[in-house]
Amino acid sequence: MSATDDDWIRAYALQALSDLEVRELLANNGFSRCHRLHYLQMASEKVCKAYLIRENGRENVKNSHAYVQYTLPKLAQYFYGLESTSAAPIWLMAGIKRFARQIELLAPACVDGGARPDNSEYPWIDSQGDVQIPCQYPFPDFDDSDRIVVKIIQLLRTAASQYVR
Amino acid sequence: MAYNRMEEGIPMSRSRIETARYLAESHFRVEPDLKHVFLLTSDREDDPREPIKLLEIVDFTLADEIMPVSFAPNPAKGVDYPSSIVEMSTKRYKSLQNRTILFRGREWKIGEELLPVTAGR
Repeated sequence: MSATDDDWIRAYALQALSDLEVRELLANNGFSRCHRLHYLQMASEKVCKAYLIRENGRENVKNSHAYVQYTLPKLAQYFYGLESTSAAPIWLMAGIKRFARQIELLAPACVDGGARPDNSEYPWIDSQGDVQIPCQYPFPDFDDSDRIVVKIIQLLRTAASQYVR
Repeated sequence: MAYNRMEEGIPMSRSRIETARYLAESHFRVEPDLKHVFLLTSDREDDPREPIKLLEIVDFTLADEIMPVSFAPNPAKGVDYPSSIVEMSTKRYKSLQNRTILFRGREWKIGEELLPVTAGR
């Protein structure tokens, strides 16, 4: 019996929740920022793909890493919209869009036309010609203790949980 | 034992169109860049598995193709139906010839505009 879209959606959501658990373990045990960011990027990608599979088909979304920047703000819009009857603060959606882009760029395949070779997984050559190593790189644009990132992690958990019930 | 939504703290049931308006209103509250929301309809609207489909118009979108984002029913939040959101730029929306979106062999007609409650005040 072949797997249905529902099977794939649930599988992506469950694996994303597991990725987030690992990120938490890494954060609580002092591992390098690159590893925490790597698991955040993987969890984000899987949650976003889970929400794209039903209408777009798994075959059409499985091979790209470039869905987080588009999809994550839509998840925020949906879940935050149902959470409150008052308007969301402006900084929240602006921050989520900004970090959604940063999360997407953490994938080695997403280099923003060559301008952003930095990523959380593989060494790269920087603009000075030096080799940069993720586990020694400070990721100055990405503070994963920022309140927006904390909100994104909560959002990913909420969104993934919707599809594992 | 009868299931009582109110005792469980769950909002009363809404119809499909009431749910669509509720979702659109909630999206306007959160997304300041959202300009218009339209209901999309297909020839399968009588199928309970068919999602409520909203076309959301923004000045700029990252999606260079139609890419719906699909949500499961969320009864605890007063949403008893699956839903799908299609984001489109204002420019592309204005270029549509016949208020119809063709997507992977499906045809979705652009229907009623779902206005925020503040509209016209």
